Amino acid sequence: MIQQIGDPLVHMVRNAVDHGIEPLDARRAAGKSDSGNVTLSAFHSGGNIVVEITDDGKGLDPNALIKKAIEKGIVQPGERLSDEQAYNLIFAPGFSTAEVVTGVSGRGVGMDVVRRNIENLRGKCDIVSTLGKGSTFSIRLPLTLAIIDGMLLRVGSERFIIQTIAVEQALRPKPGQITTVQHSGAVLNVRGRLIPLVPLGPLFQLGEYVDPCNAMVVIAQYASGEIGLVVDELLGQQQVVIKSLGERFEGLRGISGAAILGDGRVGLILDVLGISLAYRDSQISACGSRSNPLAMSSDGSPIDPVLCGESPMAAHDTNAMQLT
Amino acid sequence: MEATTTISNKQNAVSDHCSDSTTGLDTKYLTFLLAGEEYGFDILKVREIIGILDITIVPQTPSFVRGVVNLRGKVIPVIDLRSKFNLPLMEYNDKTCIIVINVGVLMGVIVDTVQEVYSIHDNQIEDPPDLGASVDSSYFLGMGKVEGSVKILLDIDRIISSEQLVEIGADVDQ
Repeated sequence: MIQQIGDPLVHMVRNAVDHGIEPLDARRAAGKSDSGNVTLSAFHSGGNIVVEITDDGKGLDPNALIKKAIEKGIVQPGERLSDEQAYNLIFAPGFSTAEVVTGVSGRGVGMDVVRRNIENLRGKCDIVSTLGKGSTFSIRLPLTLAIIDGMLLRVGSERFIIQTIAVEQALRPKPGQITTVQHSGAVLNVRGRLIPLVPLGPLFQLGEYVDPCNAMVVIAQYASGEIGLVVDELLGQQQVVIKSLGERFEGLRGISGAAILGDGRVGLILDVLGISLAYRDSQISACGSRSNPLAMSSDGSPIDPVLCGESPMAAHDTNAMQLT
Repeated sequence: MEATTTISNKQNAVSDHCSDSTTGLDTKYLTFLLAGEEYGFDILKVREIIGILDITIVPQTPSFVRGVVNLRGKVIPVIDLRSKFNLPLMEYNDKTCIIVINVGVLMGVIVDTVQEVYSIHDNQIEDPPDLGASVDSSYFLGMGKVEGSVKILLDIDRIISSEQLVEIGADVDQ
């Protein structure tokens, strides 16, 4: 945990010093002391560890943030955001208010990386700011014994857990809702939204492609999008204690941990972002066009993974990915 | 203990055993069967021996990684030694054991059946012979001679710590 929280903390302290604390004359004009203060504190609070970084600088200006976000195309003009939503814009990928690279900050590692690191630890980051008075960034991290609300899914012979909070809905699609692309990928039309389908069986090599109309689709959200996980069955809802898989399984994508289920067996906990990345990579490497893995579609989200060819994981069975 | 005595007798001097202990060491090995061949682990690395448990498959792992099991609330990885050594696989039965190894972290190793604990003196262990390219000898500590038979002594650290358990496609990782 220390290793994973170290870099984000350094980054946030640098930001506080560089962006928060104003130049000497601005401080004098605002009637503040010549030297700026950045305070780092940590305490326990209701099962969480809270780390706070407080500066007495100029604070975040919601209007300036929104203006910047509109310039970058992150927010549509005319969209109304609360102050809190505006503060959270600094965590959006591609959002950086640093115009100049200084020795202290603005070197390309964005706050989106900070937030991702914190979210990997199942933490949260909140911002409280008063314009002209300063800002407080607080990181909330759960203690090691973390309990999550999960939904139990079955894929082949295995059971998986997905955090209930990540699940938007679960449905059994009708044939008309599914559009296949080049006979390899599929999108699901849910009330006008097109959601790429990720068949977990083939992706995890636990089973063949099943027609989503005979299975269940769990629509799961991650930071910047949503995917439809095709699973065999929904088994129910359960609170589970998260157990680490240990360093031996570091690098596993799509799996964030494990939990002991009611019958004593181990169930793996799904990581939605990881699944979407793993699926995209499997598709990209399958179609042999890795030239633009970071290609963006017009709305700025990563290009739809299902537009590429067949998954290499399903390559042993050429029909595995095709809809019948 | 019986095994030790036998070794010493073969050296034609029981007293040698005592003096030997100053020049070399007896190490205890847990031996087990794997497709008819006898292998051994240093027993100090063995934490416990349990029967086969329900194994949960972990995706993106090489085939010798069978998955994870619940060992009294701890989630530990389990590898299949037959699969690791490219031996023919077999169905698990009531003799199949998981040897739980402690190498800093706990890890289960599936073997056909455990046999005995032998004390083998250093001078009864020979370097593994060169078996050609078909056998990866880097996992072997040596060949232990006990009561006329030969046990293949394995370096468990090398087997399970040198291994990356997660298979990430090289092209995917770029």
